[in-house]
Amino acid sequence: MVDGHIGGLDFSSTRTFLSIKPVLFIKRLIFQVMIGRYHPLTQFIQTITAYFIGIGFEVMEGPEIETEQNNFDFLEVPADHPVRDVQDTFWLAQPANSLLLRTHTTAIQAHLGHNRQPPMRIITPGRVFRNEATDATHQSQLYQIDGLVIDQEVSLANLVATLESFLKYLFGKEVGLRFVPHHYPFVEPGMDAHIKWAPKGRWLEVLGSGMMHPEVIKNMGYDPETWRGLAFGMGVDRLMLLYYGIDDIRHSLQNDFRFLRQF
Amino acid sequence: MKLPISWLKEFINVDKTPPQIGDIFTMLGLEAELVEGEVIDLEITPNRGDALSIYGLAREYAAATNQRLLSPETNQVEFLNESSLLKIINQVPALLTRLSGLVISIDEIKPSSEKIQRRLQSVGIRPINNIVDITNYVMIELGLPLHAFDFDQIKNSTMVFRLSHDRELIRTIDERTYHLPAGIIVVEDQNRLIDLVGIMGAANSSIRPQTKRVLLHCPIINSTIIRKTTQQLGIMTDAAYRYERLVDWGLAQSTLKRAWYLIDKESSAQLVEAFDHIYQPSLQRTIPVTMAEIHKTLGIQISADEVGDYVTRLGFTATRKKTTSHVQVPSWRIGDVKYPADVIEEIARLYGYDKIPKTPLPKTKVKIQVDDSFTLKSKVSKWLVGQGFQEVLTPTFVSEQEIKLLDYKPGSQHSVQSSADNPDTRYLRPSMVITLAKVFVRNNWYGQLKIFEIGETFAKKNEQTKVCIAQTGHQKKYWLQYVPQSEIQVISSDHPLAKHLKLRTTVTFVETDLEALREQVKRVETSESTLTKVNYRPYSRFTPVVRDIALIVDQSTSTEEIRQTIASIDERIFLVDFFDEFKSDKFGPSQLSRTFHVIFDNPKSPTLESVIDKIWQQVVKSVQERGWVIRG
Repeated sequence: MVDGHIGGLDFSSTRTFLSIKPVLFIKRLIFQVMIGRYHPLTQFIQTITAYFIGIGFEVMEGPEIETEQNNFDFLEVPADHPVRDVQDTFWLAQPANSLLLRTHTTAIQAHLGHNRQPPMRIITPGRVFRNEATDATHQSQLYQIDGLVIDQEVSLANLVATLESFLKYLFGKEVGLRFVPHHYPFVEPGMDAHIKWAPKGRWLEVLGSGMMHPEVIKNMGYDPETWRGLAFGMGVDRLMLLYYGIDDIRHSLQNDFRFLRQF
Repeated sequence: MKLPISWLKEFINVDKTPPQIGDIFTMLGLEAELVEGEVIDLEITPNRGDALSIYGLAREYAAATNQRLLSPETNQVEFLNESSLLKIINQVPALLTRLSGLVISIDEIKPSSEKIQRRLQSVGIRPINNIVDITNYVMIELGLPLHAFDFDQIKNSTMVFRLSHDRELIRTIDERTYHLPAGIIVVEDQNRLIDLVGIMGAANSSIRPQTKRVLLHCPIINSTIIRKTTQQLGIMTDAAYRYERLVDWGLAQSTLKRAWYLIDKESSAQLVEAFDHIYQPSLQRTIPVTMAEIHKTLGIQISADEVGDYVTRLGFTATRKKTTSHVQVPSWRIGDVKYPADVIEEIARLYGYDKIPKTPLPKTKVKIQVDDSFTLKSKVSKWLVGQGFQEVLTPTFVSEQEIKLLDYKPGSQHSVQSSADNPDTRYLRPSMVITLAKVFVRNNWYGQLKIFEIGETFAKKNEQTKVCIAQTGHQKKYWLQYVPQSEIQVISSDHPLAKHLKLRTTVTFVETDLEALREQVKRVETSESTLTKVNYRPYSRFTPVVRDIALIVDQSTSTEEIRQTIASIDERIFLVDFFDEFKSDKFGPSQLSRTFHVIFDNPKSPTLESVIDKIWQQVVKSVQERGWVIRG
């Protein structure tokens, strides 16, 4: 269990306990601590990245401010097609530059090509932004983790196996699991992973994924005849909500101690 | 897209229950989001314009179940290459590649039959009259939008299809007036605009009670220009929605035949003329796909015969040359299927994603480069958590007023255009001091706070990863060990920001670059992380009440045991938060003191002091029964 950790010195605590006399306190040379904790989203990010590091992935991080080019065009999400509607965007109020707050951690793919050659396995966590109305299941700022594998031989069968192992690791071996086709412009074939708790329960979408689109591989500067890739992405807030049965996604960024101190 | 099963059954044999039918569509990539009685609500992704109709969905169902598709009943119609009644001029043949139409004389404009009205209502469309209803009916059924004009309102029987000029005026059927930008496809008769093509008709040429002659027209329009139009004007209609996602060039005559069949059945009417102007042929595309590519992408063993069978069932034609299949794309998929990978997805869809074998990735031979910044974040957070700090994650957006209170100039800061639920301009935080201060205010009931965040801060020049720490009281001396004076700020309650946020305690803020702490945390070892098992409890909207208890216990007593003992006394004890521990000679050997915030919170109502007093008596009793000594 991730409990608090102990250590450090703090001479200035003046909190009045129920019936303790301050005098007693100050005179004593004490080795006193407060119990610190991680935010549950961080616990999730650390657990998930550790899992993928264990199967040969390396962690990369990208910037929150992105160009339209990196966030959309590079990933074959054209400006004049309704597929852009799927991700409502925060554009920075700078007419000249088409800068935005990244809508997905998939934007990392644009940063890969120049600096390295395949094969590679990358996992990338980070904060992303959606310009939509906030409610119990929607927030304008959320956390995602994207992953990809580029190699000479990698297939849909590898993708299914990888996601199944991961989801069973996270949610337990008994979790109901299914893979269904879904469309994302940057993967083809595209796929969603759904989980289900009880036999009569609802299927819940938890992961988007697919084989990296050959055009994206080309955009990276690699030869799609030689290199192929698989990619996947998940919403960490959503996974956290499902895992713990949390009622409202907005708790993540409100930081009420009644929320934080439960984890 | 709402799919009434009774309507689906007109095109294909269906012998399954609604949930089973929903599952079949889900496994095809058209997810059944809701099944309500005999209507299934499907999510149609933007690439599948062909599935935005009952017939298109029946086509998919037929492919999945390997059945024949039934055609809709139509009337036989002879189409002229050129209309003899209308003078049609197309100035944009690259954008409007086909224009077909029917001219019909009708005795009476009246409400449609019960059957038609109910069908429309079942998919959320309001019935209007026996002509407009049929245009909507065939749009839902076959996917191609038609527009109905009052033929006699078309001045001089002239229709010029052209691009709009800047500021041209049109008044649409829903009584709205638009000053159009240049570059939108419109229809002009003798001297005025009578249609916003593909989007909405104009009021001046719409069907009215006195209409005696009807023009039903069926334009095939480029999807990009319709998309640009909907974005520029902020209009969306069922027709525009379909055009944006590409309509089927090859369906023009069938749709009009079907429309005429339905009008003929419903009303007393005559077909005066049918015309079909073809300006440009449908896009053609043949894609070569090799068996090797299929095997490598999917990781399955599949024969060329199987591949041929699947693509044929979906309406593609495949010609085999050795190990390459040359797959010709049908007109309704021309917008979506462009690359070999697209064809491979079609094969996988029919093969069944649930049948794809699970083949684990081999062990990687690549040497792992450890990302500095991620590891550094882990080390810094561990270092801070180890000193008793609670990690928080706060919003990126702050207000103009807030940044000014910390002496940041709005002009040198990034802002975003207003969003869905917040009309005020929001700024990207130049500093986490603002947002961490808000965490203090929100949790002022807790007592002393020690919090930190590692996150991005923004200035127009750059984005910077920083660490921000906030702690109750005057902590400057402590932090000078780690950061320069300029990065420490003690904010007391008379600071403008504190006044604005109603921060009533003194708080020390430290904000430094993540990189600046690298040396400090060099020797911190990051450890394995696992998820806490928690029975999560939602908290109330009331301010909680906290009482502390410090217990002297044997060091072998777990905090979990103490927590359970206290928490189990009453469910209004929301959380027993272990937050302090220390050893002292005074307590005796192998004894230490553990302090807990006992947090009272109740979703139904604020917890009253008198109630807490009663519960507290129980807590004291219970704790003493265990032999734990209450300090103080």
